[in-house]
Amino acid sequence: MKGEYAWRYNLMASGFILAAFLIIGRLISIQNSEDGKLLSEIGKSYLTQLHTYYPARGQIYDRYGHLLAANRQMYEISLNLYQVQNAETVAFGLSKILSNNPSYQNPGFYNEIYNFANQNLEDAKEFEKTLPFPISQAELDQLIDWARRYASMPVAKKSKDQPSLAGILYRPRPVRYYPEKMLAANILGYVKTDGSGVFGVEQKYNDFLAGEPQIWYVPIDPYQAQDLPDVHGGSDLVLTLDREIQARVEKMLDEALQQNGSESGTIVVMDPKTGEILAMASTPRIDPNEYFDFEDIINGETPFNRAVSQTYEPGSVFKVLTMAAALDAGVVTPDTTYLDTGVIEIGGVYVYNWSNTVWGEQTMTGCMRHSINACLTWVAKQLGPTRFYQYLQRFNIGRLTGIDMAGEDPGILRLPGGVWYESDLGTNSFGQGLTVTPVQMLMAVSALANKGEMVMPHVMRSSVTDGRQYNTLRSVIDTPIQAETAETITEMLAISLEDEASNALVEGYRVAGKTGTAQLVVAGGYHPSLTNASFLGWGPVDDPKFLVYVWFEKPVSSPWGSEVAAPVFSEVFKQLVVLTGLPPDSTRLQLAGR
Amino acid sequence: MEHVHRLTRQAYSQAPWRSQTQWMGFFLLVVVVTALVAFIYLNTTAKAATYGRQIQDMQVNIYYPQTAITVQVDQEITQLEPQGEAETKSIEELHIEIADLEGKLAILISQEVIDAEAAELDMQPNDPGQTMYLVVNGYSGRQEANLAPPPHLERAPASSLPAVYKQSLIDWLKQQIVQTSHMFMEEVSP
Repeated sequence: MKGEYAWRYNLMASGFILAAFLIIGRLISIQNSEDGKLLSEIGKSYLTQLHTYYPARGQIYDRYGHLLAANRQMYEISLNLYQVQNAETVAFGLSKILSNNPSYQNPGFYNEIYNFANQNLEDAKEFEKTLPFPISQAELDQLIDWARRYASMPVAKKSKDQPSLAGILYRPRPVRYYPEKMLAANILGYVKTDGSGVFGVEQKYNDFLAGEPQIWYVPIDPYQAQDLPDVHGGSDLVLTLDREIQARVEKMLDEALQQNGSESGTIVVMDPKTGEILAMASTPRIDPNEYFDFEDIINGETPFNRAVSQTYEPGSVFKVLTMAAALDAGVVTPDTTYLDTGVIEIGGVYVYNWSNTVWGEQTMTGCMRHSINACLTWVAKQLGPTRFYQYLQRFNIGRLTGIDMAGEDPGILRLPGGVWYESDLGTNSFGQGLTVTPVQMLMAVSALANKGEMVMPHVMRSSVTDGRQYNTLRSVIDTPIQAETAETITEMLAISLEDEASNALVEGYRVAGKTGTAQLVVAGGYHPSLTNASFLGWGPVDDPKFLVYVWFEKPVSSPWGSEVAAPVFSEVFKQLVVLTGLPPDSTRLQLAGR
Repeated sequence: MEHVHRLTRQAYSQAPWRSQTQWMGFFLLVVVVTALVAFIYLNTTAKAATYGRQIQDMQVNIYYPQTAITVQVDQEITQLEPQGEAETKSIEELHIEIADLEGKLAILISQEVIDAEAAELDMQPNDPGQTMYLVVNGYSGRQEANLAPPPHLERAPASSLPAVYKQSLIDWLKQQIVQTSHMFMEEVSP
């Protein structure tokens, strides 16, 4: 019996074994087929999730911790094709709500959104689209409000006709904002919507401030859970600026421009011992929050910050460097005399005094007081071109100062051996035939105010990175003159101001300085009446705290620096002593003697 | 003789049922060991999956997720408020909010606002001639901003590996036995 029916059991077993082999074989063939591989690839795409983290841009403060550049919350908008239900509503809603947003004035914006949202899932190549510019809280609230209204509408017969903003996603994102608006705008620069800094500190320290956006794939598989990368935010900056001084200086500049009718102006205040820029005002100024108006305000070749980017012939303020060089070289002393006849010849060219005045016999102090062009030309001839230009180069004329702001111009200084004529020695001695920027003059003259040590001007006082504050150290670039020379020239200039009862004097404080009135360069020579009027001064003389440069371009009320720029210097200095609590010289010396 | 040998072998060999029992026991032992290994494997992988999920949940709280404007499920609007807001805010969201509030505070104390308030109160900028100076002992004047501590040299920490990583297996077993015996002794003696 057993043997008679054994074949049935064997047949069934064979059948089952065959079926098992067929199933296994089919499994293997499916797995190795093209469709199987495609399915595997599609499955892998769901294993991870793309994540982008934008570290907040570092903030910028003034020296006392007032926030000058901050980050405010805006929203990044994305469209998810899988969730879109009504492409027309989505495109209409976004284009309507963002119609007043200056970043979305592109007339093809509606079509761009509609074309994306209306794609078939089978044909689409990308399933998520992020709008290029973030939107404000108010715009987001409007979108949410519209979504609510659509949700309360009666349900349409066809689901595709139901108005809906489904598919729109949002995520908060920090965006640069300037709470002080136009204050210090020329120094800060601004940040475009793509996060890149333009001009000023924002451009110079862009990589430092920005941090780096991190993109990584987060695994969804819990077995693949891993540590997220450590994202470092941007570093914060503390500037050397004093917000109150900056505001006051900007206000005085604007008022002065209105009074004297100048086309533009610059006022810079620097600590001559450290090179810290306490204030830097320039015109015109923009509101960096509305940087898209840039071309309406700063057009053509107008520099963003004249203090570092505008070169000009400085005129008579440059005489302080010529005289300092001659004193340091020992070719003249304060009491050396010069017989002025109103004109001097150099290299076949005749150099005249301003207003063709003849001053007769003058000491060097007198030459500085009366700003005698012929005298300074004679001084330069005594120095000789080699020593004269060596001193100018040591004063960093014709070179970048290295100030930590974008857009600096080195100016022009022609040297013997290049395109240079002997007459250039004469004109250069009183600040013509060469070009400088205000910060270059400040840096050079800092040596006169700081016992011969020339410091590098800078605007960054410290930075905060990874929870630690790093302070900028004072940087002495060179010592072009000796300390005794610096004291001598300072005393000469102080006496000059006092003797002529200059408009630059400040009651209670002893200051030193020099006016400058440089004819404007035009094609073929110099303009007969248009000038650059300036004043460069420092004080208190015995212990200089401030070095101030005032410069006006094409003043109308008067062309002279002594009448236009010197009074502004005096007013600026008065505000500085009040804002910094610096007592008058007598009080200060009395306190020091206690 | 052969017969004697056969009888002897048969007398001393295992009974068939005993041999079968041994084979079954051996087979069951293999099954039990396999089951034990499978249990440990499943237990470990389940724990790994659980911890992995917990880590991912915590990571979600670091970075703010995208939020949908509106969601429609089965033709019925389930909510009008934006979906997906976590009950607790993510770290990223908090950072952005803090920065936003700092900016708003800066606007409230900006130079423009202060100047306007001063003008409203009919205050005028001071003049050097109107200023009186007083000596205040110990007053060092206005201090510049110190937003963070200065950098300092950090000493490398001494090795802080737990003792369990340095013990041998024998030492660990001894420690466990001693701890267990202490537990029992505490239970016995009130």
